[in-house]
Amino acid sequence: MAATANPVPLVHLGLEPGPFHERLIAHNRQQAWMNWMGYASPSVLDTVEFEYFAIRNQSTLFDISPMCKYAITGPDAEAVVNRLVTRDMRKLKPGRVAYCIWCDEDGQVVDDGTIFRYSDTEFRLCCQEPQLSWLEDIAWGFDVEISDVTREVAGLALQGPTSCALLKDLGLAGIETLKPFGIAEFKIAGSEVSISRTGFTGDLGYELWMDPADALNVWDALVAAGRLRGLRVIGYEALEMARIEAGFLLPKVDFLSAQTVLRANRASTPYELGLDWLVALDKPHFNGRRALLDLSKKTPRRKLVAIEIERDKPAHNALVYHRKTREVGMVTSALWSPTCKRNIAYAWLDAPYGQSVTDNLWVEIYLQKEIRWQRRMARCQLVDKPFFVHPRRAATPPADH
Amino acid sequence: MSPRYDAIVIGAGHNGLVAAAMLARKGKKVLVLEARTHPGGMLGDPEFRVAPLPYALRPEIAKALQLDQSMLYAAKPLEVLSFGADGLPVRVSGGLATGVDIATAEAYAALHTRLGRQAKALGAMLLETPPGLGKAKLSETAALARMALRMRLLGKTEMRDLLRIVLSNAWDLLNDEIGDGPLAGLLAMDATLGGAMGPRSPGTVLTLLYRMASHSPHGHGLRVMPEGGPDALVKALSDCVKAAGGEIRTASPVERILVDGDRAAGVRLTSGVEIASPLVLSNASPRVTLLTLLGVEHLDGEFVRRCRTMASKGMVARLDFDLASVPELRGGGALQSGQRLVVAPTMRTIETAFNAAKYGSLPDRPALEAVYDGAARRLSVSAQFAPHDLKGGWTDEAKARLSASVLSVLADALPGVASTVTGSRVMSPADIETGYGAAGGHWHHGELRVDQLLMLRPFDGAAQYRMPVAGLYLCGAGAHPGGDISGAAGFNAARAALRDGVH
Amino acid sequence: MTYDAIIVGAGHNGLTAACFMARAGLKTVIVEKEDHVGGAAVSLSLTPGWTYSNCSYVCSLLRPEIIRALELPKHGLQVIPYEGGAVFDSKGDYFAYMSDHDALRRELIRHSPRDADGYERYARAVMRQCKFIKPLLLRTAPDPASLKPRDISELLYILKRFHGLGAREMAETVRFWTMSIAEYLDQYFETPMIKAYIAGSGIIGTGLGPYSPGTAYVLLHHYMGEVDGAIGAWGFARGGMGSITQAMARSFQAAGGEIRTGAGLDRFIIKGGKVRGVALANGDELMADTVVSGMDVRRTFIDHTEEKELPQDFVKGVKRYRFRGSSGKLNIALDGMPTFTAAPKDASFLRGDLHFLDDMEEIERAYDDWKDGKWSASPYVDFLIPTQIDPTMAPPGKHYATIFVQYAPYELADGQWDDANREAFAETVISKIARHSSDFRKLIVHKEVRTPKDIEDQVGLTEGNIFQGELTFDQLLFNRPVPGYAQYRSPIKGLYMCGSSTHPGGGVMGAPGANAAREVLSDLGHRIDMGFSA
Repeated sequence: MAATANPVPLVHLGLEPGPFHERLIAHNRQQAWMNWMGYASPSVLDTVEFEYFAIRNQSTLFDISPMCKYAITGPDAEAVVNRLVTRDMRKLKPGRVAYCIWCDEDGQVVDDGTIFRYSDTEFRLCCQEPQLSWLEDIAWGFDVEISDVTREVAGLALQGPTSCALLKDLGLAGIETLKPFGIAEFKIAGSEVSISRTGFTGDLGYELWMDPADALNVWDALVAAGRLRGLRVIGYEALEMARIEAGFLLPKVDFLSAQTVLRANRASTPYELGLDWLVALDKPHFNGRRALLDLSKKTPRRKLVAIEIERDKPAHNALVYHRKTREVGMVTSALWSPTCKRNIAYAWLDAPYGQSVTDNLWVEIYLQKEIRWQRRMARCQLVDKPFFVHPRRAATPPADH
Repeated sequence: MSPRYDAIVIGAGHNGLVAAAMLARKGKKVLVLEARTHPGGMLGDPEFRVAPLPYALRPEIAKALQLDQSMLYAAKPLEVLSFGADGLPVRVSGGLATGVDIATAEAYAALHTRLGRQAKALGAMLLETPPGLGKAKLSETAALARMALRMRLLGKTEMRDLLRIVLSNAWDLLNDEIGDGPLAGLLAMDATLGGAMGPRSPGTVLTLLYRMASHSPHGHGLRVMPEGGPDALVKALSDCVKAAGGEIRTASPVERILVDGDRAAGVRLTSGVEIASPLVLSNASPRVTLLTLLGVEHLDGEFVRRCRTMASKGMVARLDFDLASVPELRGGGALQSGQRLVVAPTMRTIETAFNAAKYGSLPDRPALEAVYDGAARRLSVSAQFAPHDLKGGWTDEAKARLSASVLSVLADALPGVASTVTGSRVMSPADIETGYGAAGGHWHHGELRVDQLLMLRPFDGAAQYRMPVAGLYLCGAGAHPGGDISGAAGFNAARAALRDGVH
Repeated sequence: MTYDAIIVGAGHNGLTAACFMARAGLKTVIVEKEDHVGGAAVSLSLTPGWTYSNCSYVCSLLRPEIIRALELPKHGLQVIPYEGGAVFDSKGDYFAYMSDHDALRRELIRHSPRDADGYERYARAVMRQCKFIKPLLLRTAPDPASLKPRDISELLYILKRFHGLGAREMAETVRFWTMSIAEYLDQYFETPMIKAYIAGSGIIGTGLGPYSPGTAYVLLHHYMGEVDGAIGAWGFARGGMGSITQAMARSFQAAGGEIRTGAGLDRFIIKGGKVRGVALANGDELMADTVVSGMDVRRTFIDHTEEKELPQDFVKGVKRYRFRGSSGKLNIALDGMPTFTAAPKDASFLRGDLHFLDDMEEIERAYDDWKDGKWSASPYVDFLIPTQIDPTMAPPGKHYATIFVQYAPYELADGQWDDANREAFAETVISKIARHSSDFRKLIVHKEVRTPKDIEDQVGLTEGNIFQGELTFDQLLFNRPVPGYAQYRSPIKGLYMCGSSTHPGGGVMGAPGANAAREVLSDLGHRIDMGFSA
């Protein structure tokens, strides 16, 4: 049989424009794009410091559309979600969001993400890595439908102390009553928008979810209203600073998904990540439960800890030593916190360091002073997360600034 | 719930009965629940048996259960007639072949001996719990070490030979050693029957060795029909269970395995009756046991994936023909009761039959194994390859087509047999699946291949009889060491359960 | 003439071994029956203006350690990566294997979001296997029946690596090495065309179909390059495959080696169980106590060694060793770039490997034809036009197409490989391509057709097997070529094997040659510094 059809159009080559791309181009004075799941995502639009301070002082917009989003719907949706994640999702009420992790059969973390519950039978999962086949495996045998809605839902993070006021200015009645991890439906400039009081900054903030066709309309309304509220469009780098301060972990940076590791010992358990509080061993069977039950009785072979380092040079890519000699771990994320004025980092420490042995720990920092590199051993100590805490994050109703 | 038992065995197939007998003889209060009206599973239905040739029960098991050995093994090893392209039979008893030229007969004898030795070395693992992958207990590793030692004891040349052929195909081995023909056809039939592989498929030497590892007091690779046939074997096993205080309930299909606090708690019958027991052994295939009876909600997603994707495609159809008269062999003489017939004149005919089945079709000329029951005047035929997932489905028309092609192939060996047929029945792999809890209608509850043997049988994470829900055990052919009516899976599973302690 | 070492056959493995030996200071000569070096890695001009990669045609597995140790780039070797690939189906659609990861993801999603997800899992699974197997390529396989400390320690090394994978991955490894490619891919993909695209490379050169158990591991070829270090690993040798062996020859000569072309072997000279040299067909005798044969095992020991010099079980093993060529090759000079009905104009994936397939069943049926002694009625075709990237092989605006064809039997069940059958075979291939490219046929300026018989006659690969023997488990690792003789040594003292008949087998990899040289040098008491650690 001869092939007679017309040529099939080529898929888009290179970075793909997301639903807000037209507007982002206008703001992206640095022309600095990075690749987020194949989408063009701004790393810095203007100046990273100003973008960062806007998160903590005014309000900011960040395009989160490239997040992977899956709709989980049907009579068994609750059972499937509860089987997927380690938290007890029977306790999650409609109109609420929960931060979750999920594990493989060996109790190793596959990914983290947020689960939105819209009704008894409708959930949505937002996460960093594609999970379709994982979800289908978990859902096999259950009366539930899983669909990838990544391209059907555009997302914007509106974060910062003035974000609630900004939304009120747009006439969103009752937005001030939305509690942290709550979801409510609103209209912005005539477009339907689902708003959750969630975010990656540890500050007051919201995430707005909409039909991609409405994306520019909503954007324009927010930007217009934002003029009075100091709104700034930001890139990934500023957000990264805020998320370290806020104590959030980033997959691929702080830990690797058990699904993606090439070396068996590179995956991590909830206990190693310090996420014990997310594991409800007393609920009915969920993926990895039996392995987690065993792991919960053992000392983690290593642990991800928060550390504070003396002096002011961030400890990027640093190794951690005990008594300056014995290599006991490494730093994954590091930051000089502009708000807390602390030199902070997350680090993996091999047992017993970071668990029973917590003193005399040092990080090895390389500093460049006029093209000459210097090595500095800086003392560090274990501290509690998050580094940045502010009552406005949880205050309901929030103040206007 | 009704009175409590120490153990419930789901399915009164031979493995279920062996497991029940083992447990009962250790003083456990055992209940065997069988969905069908007869015990015996694939051996059980006297009207139309899935497995008419129950010749491989391990003598160690017969001994452990104190079965009547004279009944089981008194008869001579089965004689096989393997028909050539000319329709004339080669007569084979173990390594002895008559009706072929001397050189071929000698080559066959040498090969038979050699394979027997190699099979025996590998067979060391059959009555052992396979070691856990990556975290084997010392005792389990010892079994593996014993196998390695036995391989070394074969001598350098033969060990090397075994390591060369073990993952190879029957086609090349048999062409090298004895050339294609009815003897190669017979061995290739042994290598492929019940599985989804043709003689050219790598892995068929292993299945041949597996067959050769079957063991009777007469020697390795020799099979004996119990006196009284399959019914006698089933009766002996059932009696053994009952004598030890066990109970067998037929027509009692299990609907669900009950779980309480991540432990097996008993079963619920389709009648709604719930029976409590802290120990449940299932003789159903892994897929039926885990996905249907237990339920995926008790299992991890990856485990379920491995379970549902394990290779288990049945490729054998069973046909019974009632005959008006004793069939005549081509070349003279009458067919005798209890003889095993193989109609696969060359390996190539088997491979060609497999070609069609690969694509979901029925072959024009299936390869056949048959046994004649003189008392019932019945010829029982196993025909391959008949795919479980036949394109267009297993309609009456498809069955009639298969029946006609089987008779046409049979006619080469038994001229005029078609005209003496007074009645016939066809059982497709789909029928076997629904009737016997065997996923895919697979005789062995799962393909016998390297990636589904030993510590990987039935699949990774389910290989040591113990299932993730404590107190639940697999005791059927899906578990190590697989099928062939050896009883080994039931024997090993019961031992594993006893070792763990009955709660 | 007396030498320290004689290498028979100037294929890429013979040349590799020769280079290492010359660099170790041995007075080394290569004898080659053809008037050019290269074996199956050659670039020949059969029509003015065009250069063909007559046999092997892409460079994927040539060990980077060897390229570096032999300084091949300095001697002119350049490997240029090629861009993706595609399969065209009979319904007018295609699946493009885009070289850009995100574009590939979008292309996978276009066919099936599930497959896009599956691809990630698949790629990681194969990558894990690559990481496991890669170090074994440049090591000598242990003899499991031997109790020598070296064999035991090598066996323990492999077991330790295996154990180090962890329980899950150990199980995966067993599956990967024994499953069929079809079943393996079914775990990850649902789109028939995508599976067919990936499966194709698994059956190249083999006597198995994609449904045959034991074919999955060939998927290693897909990612071995990436493990070797991404860019440049999968590509064309600039100037054709001959430029690899040309660079090797120059490296060899720079190290003081001597090459004699047009010097076919008559026989090995053997006295008292030891090799003393070679007698050439022209009557010359060259003497050396070390002789390394790059020829396949049957040519070396059946055709050129007297049987009385060899133990019986070895001869039996060699005679049993299976070749069964299954591949043909068309090299075509084109007057211009062909267009493909389904492809957007100038699509970058046309610069990769192209195939014309609906599903894996089509490949399996092609295999069934071969089993019956016929060439496939609808063959698997690996079609590339290197001149889109390589400016050296055709005049500007003109193109060269290399077409690898699977399956074609060495012996036809009906008739012989005569001109009529050769032409009919070529026509089968060309008409299949022409169904997807209406101008392809009329662009043909010249063509070279090679059946397995031609490959045997012209290149010296027995039965036309491109790997010097099938790559099934009974002929891999410690079984290759013959159990007990898998460490490059033969029953005759001083006579070694270095061809693809030895571990780790075929493909333009160079590993057998390097491994053999290491064994030779170790027997000669040389301190072994090959420029890389194995």
